[in-house]
Amino acid sequence: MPRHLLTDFELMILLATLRVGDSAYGVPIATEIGRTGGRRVVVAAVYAALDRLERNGLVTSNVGEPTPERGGRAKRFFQVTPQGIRAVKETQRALVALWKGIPELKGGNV
Amino acid sequence: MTRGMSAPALWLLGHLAHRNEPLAGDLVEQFRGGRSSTWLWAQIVCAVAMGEFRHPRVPVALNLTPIDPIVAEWLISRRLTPRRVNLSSPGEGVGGLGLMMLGFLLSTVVPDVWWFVMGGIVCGVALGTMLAFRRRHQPMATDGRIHTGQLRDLFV
Repeated sequence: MPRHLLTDFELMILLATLRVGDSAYGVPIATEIGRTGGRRVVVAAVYAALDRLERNGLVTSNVGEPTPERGGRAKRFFQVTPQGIRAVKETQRALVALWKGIPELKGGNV
Repeated sequence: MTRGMSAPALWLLGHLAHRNEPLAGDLVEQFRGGRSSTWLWAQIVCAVAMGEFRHPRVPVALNLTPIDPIVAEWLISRRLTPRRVNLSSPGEGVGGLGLMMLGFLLSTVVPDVWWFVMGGIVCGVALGTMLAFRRRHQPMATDGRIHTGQLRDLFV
């Protein structure tokens, strides 16, 4: 299986989706990225990235029931696939490997 | 921007919603949860700029429910979302008589224009047939949705 290294935004999306859990759809994923990751994101950007991840088999999605507070529109729930989890771990390993041995990054906070 | 400015944004969102219902629903949910009109406008503009409302994300089918519930049931079982199509005239008074008058005027003033009309009909039918044929062989995602890339492939 080809190695899949993620972009920083894809990595954040996958981590946020894993953190939110079963009820992961656009809004909570964007909120989680903003709250925990400290990055304000456009909801459309989250969907664009999730569509791309789904095409690559890293997430799957299913449509829920329409709800009145959403104007009768359904939610689209996302789940990270085992392949997605593997991609997250591979990206982490690659980043940690790059991190090591850089004198400027040793020690505490700058 | 005041909250009153949200009406046009919601109207626009309502017209774009069938192209990406989950995103439209998310924006409505957030706005009703207290987000500002400025936020809503920014989200809509970004979504349009990013092409998130460019193509319908669900297969579009005529709403056949009033005609044949069995066909509608079959469509739903295939995870095709029936969509209402407005077949009425776009303007008041532009009905059958208006079209007849238009046809009469075209025939008397510029009869050659009928060649363009006929050409348009033939091209439209040919394009529709080709798209329908190619869509039959288009792989569907596991969730029954057609994704942007797949739709783009129809025109390549």
